[in-house]
Amino acid sequence: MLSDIQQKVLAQLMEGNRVAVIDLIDEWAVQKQYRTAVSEILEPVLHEFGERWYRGEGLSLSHGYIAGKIAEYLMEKCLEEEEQNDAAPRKKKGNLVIGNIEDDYHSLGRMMLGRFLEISHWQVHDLGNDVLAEEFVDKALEVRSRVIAVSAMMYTNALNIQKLRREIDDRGLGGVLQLAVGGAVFITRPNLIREVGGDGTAVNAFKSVELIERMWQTSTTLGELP
Amino acid sequence: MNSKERMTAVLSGKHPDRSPVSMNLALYGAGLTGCPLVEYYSDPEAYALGQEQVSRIFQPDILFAPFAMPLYAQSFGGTLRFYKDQPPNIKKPVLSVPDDFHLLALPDPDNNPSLVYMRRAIRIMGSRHGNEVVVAGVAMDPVSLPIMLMGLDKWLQTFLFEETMATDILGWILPFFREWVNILFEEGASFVALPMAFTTPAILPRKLVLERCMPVLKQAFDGVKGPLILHSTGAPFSPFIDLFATLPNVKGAELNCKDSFQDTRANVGEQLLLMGNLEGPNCNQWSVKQTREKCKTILQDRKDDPFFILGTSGPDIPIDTPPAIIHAIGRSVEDVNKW
Repeated sequence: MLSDIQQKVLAQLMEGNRVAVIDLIDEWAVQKQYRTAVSEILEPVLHEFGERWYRGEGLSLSHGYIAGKIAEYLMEKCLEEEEQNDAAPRKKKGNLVIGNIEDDYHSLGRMMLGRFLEISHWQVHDLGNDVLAEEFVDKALEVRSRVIAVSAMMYTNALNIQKLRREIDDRGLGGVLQLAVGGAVFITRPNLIREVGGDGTAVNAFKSVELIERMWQTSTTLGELP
Repeated sequence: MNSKERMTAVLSGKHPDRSPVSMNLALYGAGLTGCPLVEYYSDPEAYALGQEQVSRIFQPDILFAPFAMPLYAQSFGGTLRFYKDQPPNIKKPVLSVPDDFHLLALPDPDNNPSLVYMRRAIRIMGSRHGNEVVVAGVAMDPVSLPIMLMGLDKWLQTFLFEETMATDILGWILPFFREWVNILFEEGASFVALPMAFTTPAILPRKLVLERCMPVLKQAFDGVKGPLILHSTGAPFSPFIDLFATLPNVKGAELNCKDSFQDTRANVGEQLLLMGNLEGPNCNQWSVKQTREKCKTILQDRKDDPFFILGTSGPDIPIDTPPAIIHAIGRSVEDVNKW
């Protein structure tokens, strides 16, 4: 059951009214600070939002992107607040490497995922579009990321994820370096995850955060990164 | 009635002898002539030969111009990636920074190779088949066209968060849209199909469509000199059709396979032509029996609806679809009374 403020924020988000959502959050922050808005407004609203998305209840890409933008705004405000209060930033859960696979330039889903991971206290290393398999793995080893989240929108591009699977396996990193795959094509082709060798997938950016946390845990039970 | 008379009837609000049939066989023609797709999507004669085979073998009521929106990206300077069995795609967006649209020139319809290819293909098809069958032009609506320049994600970001720039881009591109669509009519298109790739419920909330897209579309469609049929592009479309039905020169809408004819008809009234809604891109997976059943279900649902066209929805019918499936779709409108 959402509180009054949560319902108001969700209603404005459903209208696609980013400015009204930010006004509500700003108003809240005057009394209670931005950092409390993360746990008391944004997280429950995004959870409900993700559930509605999962159930296919009239949500569009714009809704997701506006939600991402609001999350980004709130994160910036939290950082400003921490600097003003001279408070230590909240500890990150770990480093994550994300990017679009070789030849893929559809960055929307990846950028949304990045924002939701950051709001969930992950340190995100976003490699951008058209990333080669070896670049993903090199970066993951450099920053000690146990999960690579790779995105593709088109089927033909998604097949390039097979190269990343091979790169991980050829370096003996299978299991400890988990491969999360996502993008619209994985919803329309449920067998594609097996075809490209993914270790897990999720239906949207919200569910991806949960997925990646599970995959990170799985990795820790399978050993250490070299 | 021949195909042309039948289509002319439904486009002008008169009753046809039977439902016309619309199948997106733009790509399929290449398979029939064995034409490599690089050639098929750059040589108007090669394309027209493919469509000649489509017409000869399947006798659809509509022949489509090349159904490959990335050709518009190419016309603005983008490069394409070609495949063996599907239409070309954009290799890399023309604009990596949306604001750089200032640096682009609008393509010249008389000299730009991609545009010349598309208009000549229509001209050739019209000259060879125009007395018997309707030739449909294919263009992109002005609100969706920026996707071809910068990709969906950048255009969506610009549209949502850089409203002034988005307005500037739309203002820049709108005259090109009107000029281009009118050229397609002059070349012989009986109607122009507009894949509405951006203004779908999957991309935008209704409120934004109403407030931000509708004024642009109204201005753009007001200046065109022929009927427009809006295309669902492969995503559910019905929730917005009532808005688009009020736009100038919009005579019809192609529904997605997940859209309901009954609900849509209830929302838009009796006169708007509704097309669809067989799932075109998946019909290579069907048996002939399944195809007939799918057609039968739609035709029975629409049996009292004169402003209806049985057709495939979404992108092209796959090139490996057995001809028997396509024949089954085409014949279903003749067979419906026997079922």
